Amino acid sequence: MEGCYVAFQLRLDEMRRATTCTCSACALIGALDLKFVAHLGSFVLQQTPNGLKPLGPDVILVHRLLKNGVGAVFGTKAYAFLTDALLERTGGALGLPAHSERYDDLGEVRGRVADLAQAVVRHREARIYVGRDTADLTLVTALPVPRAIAWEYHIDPRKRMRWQLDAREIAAKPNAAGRAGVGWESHCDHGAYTLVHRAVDWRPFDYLTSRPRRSTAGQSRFPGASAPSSSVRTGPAARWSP
Amino acid sequence: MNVRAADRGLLSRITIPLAALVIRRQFRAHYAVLSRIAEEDRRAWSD
Repeated sequence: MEGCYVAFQLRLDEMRRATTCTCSACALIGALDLKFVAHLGSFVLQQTPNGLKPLGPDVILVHRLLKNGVGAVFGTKAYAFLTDALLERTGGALGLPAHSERYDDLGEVRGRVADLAQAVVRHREARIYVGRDTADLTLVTALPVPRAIAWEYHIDPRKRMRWQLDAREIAAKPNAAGRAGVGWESHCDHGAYTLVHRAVDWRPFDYLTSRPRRSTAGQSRFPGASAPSSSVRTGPAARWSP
Repeated sequence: MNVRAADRGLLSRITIPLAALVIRRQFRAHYAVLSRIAEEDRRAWSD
């Protein structure tokens, strides 16, 4: 659930960056959020014109739980409410705070609450960044363009071919989700060898950290540092003027 | 651009500075071209 929620928030980030539309739907992208309710119980499947549909008191319970007081108690709209019935089967309370809901016809339902917004914070803090203090090599170049344009010069293969003149061909492959982000790969054909770098941290328009995934003769051309991690910085430290 | 070698083997004290020398020379040339191109593009966009 945390992974799903983090992916959801990252997608919202991309959508916010990618649109300049001022319509109310696009303007409210940032207001979208997710909550999860998970419960373990019994049900029967009934065939309906639209397919199989689960039925039973536990199914009704889950639907009731979607309207709850978790947000008011915990001060978050992004959460997962996991009932005790589920947690007893899956390994205990997981260190999560307790919460209960009461319904006149269903009684008290106890469970635990995971704050998913904290998962996003943890994800954002889990950075892979090569700082100047730990780098073996630092190059600082002033570029007379905004950060977003500087980023494009480093990401767009057609733009890279204009300045990485020793490359025969440069290709960019999206990650498993079909997007440019962590897992994105750069394939740089130098003729005698090909360098493949995979993005391990992706923070447009701040920095990109990549690691070589595989390379051929490049390994022997750069012994020792054949597996560099590189951060292309567009921040103030790189002095790329806006 | 900050580069850090992931492989810090026994010979890293020798090989990393040597490799850094090669990479620095190569990327200094790359970035000189990029600076020129970025300036040309900026002028073209402002026309």
